[in-house]
Amino acid sequence: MTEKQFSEAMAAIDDRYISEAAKYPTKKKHSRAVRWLSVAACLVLVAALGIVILQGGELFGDTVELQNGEVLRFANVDSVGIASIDADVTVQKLSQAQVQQLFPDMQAHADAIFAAADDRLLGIEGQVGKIKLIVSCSDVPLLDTVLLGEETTSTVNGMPVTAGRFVTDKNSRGEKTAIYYAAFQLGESTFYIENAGDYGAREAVKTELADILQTILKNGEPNWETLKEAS
Amino acid sequence: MVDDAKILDLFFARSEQGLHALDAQYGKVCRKLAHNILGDERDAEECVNDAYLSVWNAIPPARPAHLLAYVCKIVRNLSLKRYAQKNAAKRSGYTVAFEELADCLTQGDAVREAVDANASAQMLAAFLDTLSKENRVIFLRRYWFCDPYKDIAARVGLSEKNVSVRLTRMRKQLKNYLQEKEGF
Repeated sequence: MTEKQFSEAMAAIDDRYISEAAKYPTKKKHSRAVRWLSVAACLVLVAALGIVILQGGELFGDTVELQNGEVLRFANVDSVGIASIDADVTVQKLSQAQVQQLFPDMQAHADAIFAAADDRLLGIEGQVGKIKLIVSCSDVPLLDTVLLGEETTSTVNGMPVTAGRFVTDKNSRGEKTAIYYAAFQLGESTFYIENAGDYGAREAVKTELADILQTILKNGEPNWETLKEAS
Repeated sequence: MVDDAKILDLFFARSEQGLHALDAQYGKVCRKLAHNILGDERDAEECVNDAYLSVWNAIPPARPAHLLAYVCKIVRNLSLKRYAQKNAAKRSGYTVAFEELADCLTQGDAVREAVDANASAQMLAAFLDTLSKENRVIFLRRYWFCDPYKDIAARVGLSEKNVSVRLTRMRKQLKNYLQEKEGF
């Protein structure tokens, strides 16, 4: 196509192209302030994503879906502290029959904790598989650890359950440990359950914890009367 | 603001108000187009007035579907004619815009130029259809309206550099397109 032909072709071009170009609305340029705000917003987003990645890549937090479809959400806990139990206690190993009576359908081992001064039942401390179980049935807290950080409460079977997780630094083999816990109240009893495992297997760790949680909630508050009578 | 239909009705009623309405609506666009080609305000004004007279004579019976495009075409043609007559040695916006296209186009050739202008227009239209709307507007604003880069950049919300780069790419596309279609 020669210049003359091109010029003629341009002159003969369909009106719709000319109208389109003539009526194309002028775009308003964003002010400098708006552009800086956009840049700032992008930086905040990048920073937020960075935090999410550093926290293990869970964009919407660490959660586990329960068998009834409800979701248990775990807050990120910064550190684990030690709390002292403010009482002198005596410990009594519970028989399997006693454990089964307190926690039906659970393969547990537990010790009953009594106040040394008056033999009053304070609660029990035990294991369900490798899951730590601490139940306090008095006004004396038995938990010897304090988890520091934000708290998240989910509703499971209509009960408020506070849950969280703590991830350790890498050990000498470069492995991290994930600790998941849940705390809740059933009647006069305060429950704390905790499960730990390799960070890479954390899905299994929290699922095991969730299964035990649901079993406890289904059973309801343990009947302490037999133990109290024994004391 | 008067819409195109009302302006056309005034022309059909042979009311001079039609010319005033046309000028109020599209006078600025027409004057800028003529000025881009001629590079002279007075010449541009005269061309626009001549274009209005042509429109007055053509409507009726003509009833253009795109009144703005219709008037702009007349302004452009008259401006190019005047430009050729004056054969201005000075570089106008039209000269500068078309110099950019020299690499895409072939040299004057009587045989080639005998090809139907309509076929060339269709080929050009087909090329324009391959572009995005924004790029098509940029192309037309540069090579039909002969707008400077600065004005195009302000219109489409890009920097002058961006407009320049896009036009360079489009010229390359045009060159490839014409080579493929014409086989030269």
